[in-house]
Amino acid sequence: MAVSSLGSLAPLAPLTPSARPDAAGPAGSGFAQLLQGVIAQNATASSGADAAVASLASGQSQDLHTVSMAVAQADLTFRLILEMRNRLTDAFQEVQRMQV
Amino acid sequence: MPFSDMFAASAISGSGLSAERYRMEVIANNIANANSTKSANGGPFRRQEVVFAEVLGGSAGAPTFGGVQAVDLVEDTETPLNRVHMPGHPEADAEGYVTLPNVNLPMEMVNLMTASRAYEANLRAAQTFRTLNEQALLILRG
Repeated sequence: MAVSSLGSLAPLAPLTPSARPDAAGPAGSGFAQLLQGVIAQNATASSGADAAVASLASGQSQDLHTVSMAVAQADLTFRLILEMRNRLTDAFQEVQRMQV
Repeated sequence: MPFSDMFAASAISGSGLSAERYRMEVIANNIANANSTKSANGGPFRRQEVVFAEVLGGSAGAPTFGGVQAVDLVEDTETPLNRVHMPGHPEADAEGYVTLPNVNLPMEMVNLMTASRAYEANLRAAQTFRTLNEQALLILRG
């Protein structure tokens, strides 16, 4: 039984460098803007959760799952920001510990 | 990317939860009015059914999903009304028969269970979405 040779396989295409995230955006404060945007959206989600809980407490809420989902969303976005902050401080401390 | 896009699946499950909750309300109303001989339109109560419709946004080529919405509440005029012989009832006709609603309790109970299971399914979808997000966040941990 003939076995087809592996030599006919095409070589892997070279990796194309991915576009830099700041290539299209404004120069300079790209990362700061991104971080501020994320924090502002977390504030929105958090105030939405506050409003949902307040409406539940005051008896204006129509259903429970809307409240639960608003709180879960605020929780998740906050944890995302917390993880980003942890990574940032870790990187900063890593640089601080560097021997000169 | 706004967080509302990130939590679109959550919002879709939420719309499903709201729709099923509304369906349960309608079924509960049917069961509660199983013996009502008067209704808003004069005659005996007729059982009601809710109509759901898919919500779509975006353009035809790239639709965005908006979940489900209860669009209509229709009266069941197909199922015949029950006639029971109750001469003492104030609503009895000349022959002593009272026309009772066309609510069939076993059928309503089955519909209620279906709505409850559908609610659970939407809840499970929302929980799975949340678990996936939490696991994605674990990537950032050391």
